Amino acid sequence: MSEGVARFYGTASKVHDVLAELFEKTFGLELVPEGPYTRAERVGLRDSELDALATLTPIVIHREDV
Amino acid sequence: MKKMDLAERIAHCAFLGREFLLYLWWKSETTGGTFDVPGFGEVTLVLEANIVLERKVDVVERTRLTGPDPSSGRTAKEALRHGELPTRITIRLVRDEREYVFTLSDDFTLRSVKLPALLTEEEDERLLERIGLARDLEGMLDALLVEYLRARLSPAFRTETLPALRRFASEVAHA
Repeated sequence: MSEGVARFYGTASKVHDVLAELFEKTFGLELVPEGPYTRAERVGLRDSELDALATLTPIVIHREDV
Repeated sequence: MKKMDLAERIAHCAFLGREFLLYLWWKSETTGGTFDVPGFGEVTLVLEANIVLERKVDVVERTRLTGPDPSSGRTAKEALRHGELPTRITIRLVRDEREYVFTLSDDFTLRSVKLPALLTEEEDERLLERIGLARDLEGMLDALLVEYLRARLSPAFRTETLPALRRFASEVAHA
C-alpha cells in the first residue's frame, strides 16, 4: 500500500479489465497499468529526468539508419 | 510545447520497455553476462529459451525464437536489423549462487517466474523468504532500468551507446 502499487498475478487482459473495474468500485481509486514511465516514476528518477523521458523518441537500430 | 499529462506520458514512453530489453540483451552479451547491479553487487544475466521481437508500424511484424540459445543466432540479429525490437525475453539471473528464471515483457510484466530454492523450512518464514526474493528480483530490474534510463538521457548515449547497439545488431549479420 505504501508503495502505491497493486500487484496482480495474471496476464489475461480481460481479467485485468475486470480487476480494474472492481478495484475502482471498491476503493474509489483508478489503477494505472505498469509500464516504463510509471516504473521510472517509482524508481526514483528526478522530475527533470521524467520530463526529459517524455521528449525522447525511439532509437533506430536497423541498417537504413546506419 | 504543451506539457503531456500522465496518460500521454505513459503512452509516449512505452517504447522504452522494448529498448530496455534490448539493453539487457546487449549488456549480457557484451559483458560475458556478468556485471554489477547498483545496490546488489555482481550478477550473471543471460538470455534463455524464448525471445519475441516485434516491429510495430502499420501492422505488427513478429519474430518468435525458441531454443537453447535463441538470442545468439542469425535470425535474432536479422530481426533487429529489420527494425524489430524485443518485446519479451526469458532471462536467467544468478546472484550469490541463487538463480532466478523469468520472462520479462516490454510492459514490465513478469511471467513464469522461478525463484531460487528456499533456504528456510518454517512455512511462515518460507512465505517471507519468497516475498523477499521476489522483491530482490524487482529491485535488481529497477536498478538496471534506472541505469538504462540515465544512460538514455545522457549526451553520451547518441555518441557511444547507440553506435554500440548498432554494432551489436550488425555483428549478428556476420555470425
